[in-house]
Amino acid sequence: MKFIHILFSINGRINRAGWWLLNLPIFVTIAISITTFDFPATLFLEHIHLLLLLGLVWIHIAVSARRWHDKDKSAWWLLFHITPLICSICVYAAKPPSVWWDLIHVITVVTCLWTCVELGLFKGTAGGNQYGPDSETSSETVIDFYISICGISAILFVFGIFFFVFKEGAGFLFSGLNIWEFLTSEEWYPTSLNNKRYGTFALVLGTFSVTALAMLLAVPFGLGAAIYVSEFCSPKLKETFKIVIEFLAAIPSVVWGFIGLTLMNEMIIKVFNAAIGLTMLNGGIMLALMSVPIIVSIAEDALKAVPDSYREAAEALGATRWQVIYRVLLPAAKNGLLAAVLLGAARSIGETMAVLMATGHSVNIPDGPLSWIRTLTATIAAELGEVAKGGEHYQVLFIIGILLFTITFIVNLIADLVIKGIRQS
Amino acid sequence: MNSTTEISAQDMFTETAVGKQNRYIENAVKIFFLIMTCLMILPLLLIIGYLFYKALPVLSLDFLFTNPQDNMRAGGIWAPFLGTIYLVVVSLLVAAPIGVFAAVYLNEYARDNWFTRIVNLAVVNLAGVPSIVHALFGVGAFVLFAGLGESILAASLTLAIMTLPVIIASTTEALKAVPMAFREACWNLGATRWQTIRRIVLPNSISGILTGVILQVSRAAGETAPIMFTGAVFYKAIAEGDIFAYNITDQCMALSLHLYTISTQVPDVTEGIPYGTAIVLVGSVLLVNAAAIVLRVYLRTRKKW
Repeated sequence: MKFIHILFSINGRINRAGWWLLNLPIFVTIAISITTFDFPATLFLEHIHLLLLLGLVWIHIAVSARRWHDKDKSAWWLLFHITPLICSICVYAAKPPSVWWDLIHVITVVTCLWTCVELGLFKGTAGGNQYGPDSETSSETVIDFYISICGISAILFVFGIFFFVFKEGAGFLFSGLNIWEFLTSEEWYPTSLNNKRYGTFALVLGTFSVTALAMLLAVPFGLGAAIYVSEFCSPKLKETFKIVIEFLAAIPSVVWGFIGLTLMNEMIIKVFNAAIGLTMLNGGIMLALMSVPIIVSIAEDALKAVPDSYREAAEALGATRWQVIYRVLLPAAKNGLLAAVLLGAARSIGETMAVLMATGHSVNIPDGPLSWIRTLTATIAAELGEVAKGGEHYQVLFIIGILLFTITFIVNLIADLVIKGIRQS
Repeated sequence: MNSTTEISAQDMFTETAVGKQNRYIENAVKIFFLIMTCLMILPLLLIIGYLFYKALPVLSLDFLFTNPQDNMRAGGIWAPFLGTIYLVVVSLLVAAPIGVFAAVYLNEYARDNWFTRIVNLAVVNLAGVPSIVHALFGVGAFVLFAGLGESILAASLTLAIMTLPVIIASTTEALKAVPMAFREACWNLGATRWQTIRRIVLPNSISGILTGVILQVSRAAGETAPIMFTGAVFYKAIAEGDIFAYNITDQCMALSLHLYTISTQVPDVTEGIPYGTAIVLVGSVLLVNAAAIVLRVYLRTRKKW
């Protein structure tokens, strides 16, 4: 309620800083839309833009009305705000090279500047006046409003992601797509002329098999490194290792894909005497290297969270370091370690560029680490650029997006619950 | 009496068989884990070394400042390099204020209730959404619904939302590190909540916030999937040496997409060019990360509590 009052109400008062804080974003938005889009020709064609613009204008008017109140003046002074609007209409009506054109420009600029100075620079009346107490809405309330909006933005974005991906794919999802076939058929022929098939089973299997292989490689190394960093390292060495792990995490996925395409490709061809090195093994190694930093950092946090008294008690009983780790630390930190593995797996499932470039990219039920596979993510990345907007194939790609979103959402949710479990116990 | 004491003292300082075995096991375990850690770190050095070695023939300042030529088979990387800078800067301008304010909300404003838990869960899940799904969202929301078309603006907004959790996470951590006593002292002097945040909390956590912002930059610079369909193109020629060559409603080239294109889509590219592109990409990302680390270490030494 308070926030609705701040934005839309014309009753009450607001101070200078509050006026600026609310109006600056509006001015900037309008300025950007005027300069970058062909204003008003395209802007007014889309009713959503028009609605947004009217909303912004209303906020500007409401806030300015409260600012006039703050100066103990009636809201009728708002009429001056309409001058620029009338003038700009006149500008479009008047033929460019004329005295009127110049005159209108001058009037517009002068009124704009004057209202800005009057509202933005001069203090309101001290103490209460007929419109309310002093600084009834202060700049602090406005800042609180902005902070709260940003705070809940994460929720809006998650819903937004689901909504917009769903919106693009919904048409075909509810009419035409055979969901059973979509999930269980291995036939993915989206571009076939007379036998279109949208079966993602091979893609799902590809995603999960390459993720499983990556986890097989990454989990032992990741947990081993986490144990070493947390239990055996001197503080200085620990700092160094952490920096290296940070660097490892920072390497972009497309570079991993490129390494898979060149270095790892050659190595696999040499070692396994294979025809082509772009295989599940290649992708798995790349994904393992990408998810290891996540596993290490979260697993290390989990080990660090085990109280020192546990270690001391075990050592006092004569346990060796290894026994402490194996019998005490690992059981005590098992939830955190599980979360680390889950988050690493979520990262692998969602990874796009590395698997697109390194796994051979052919729809295939994998029968071993040296077979070619294709994943859900790579399919979207490879095909979205080539399909007609709004077509069946295009919508199916968005439905795959929904599937991916759901899978990672569930994995992340489980990891989050597991971590929460530790904190409560 | 005398002799028994001597013997037991000797016993105390000579290692028993069990003790010796334990020591061996401990050392073996330590070395085993050390090897595991090193096996993880080795690839980093190997990769950077390999890329650098292969890229050496093409690396020069000219490589950075000339456009790709001859259907991207020769030339440099000016257009993609500048495009990446544009994408990163615009996404930073959007993500930094929202991210920092969101963290301030979560740490300073939110009460411990179900709603806050949902917000936190949303942040965690936002971080977990696959990059290609962000791309789909960018296409649906910014390119089509908002009518921005495929443009730097649309791509940057997609990147901004994708990298938001990075900033939120490190800012939250930085804010948590400011002792509660600081805030209480400030409140006791009659300061309001925002005054406390503005004068006490933010200045004391600026290092952590900057680290988060820098990490956002490195993350945004390397992403490929989210910009592929929202604003980055395979090829676009721009004026060389003009840093204002792109408009934010234009499409642009990007280093990461350029690397993908020349290594998979274009035949007969001059040998060193993909490696050169890769090393410039990795180099700039790691440089930015190193800056974050240096800043963190430097400011930690200056910490007042």
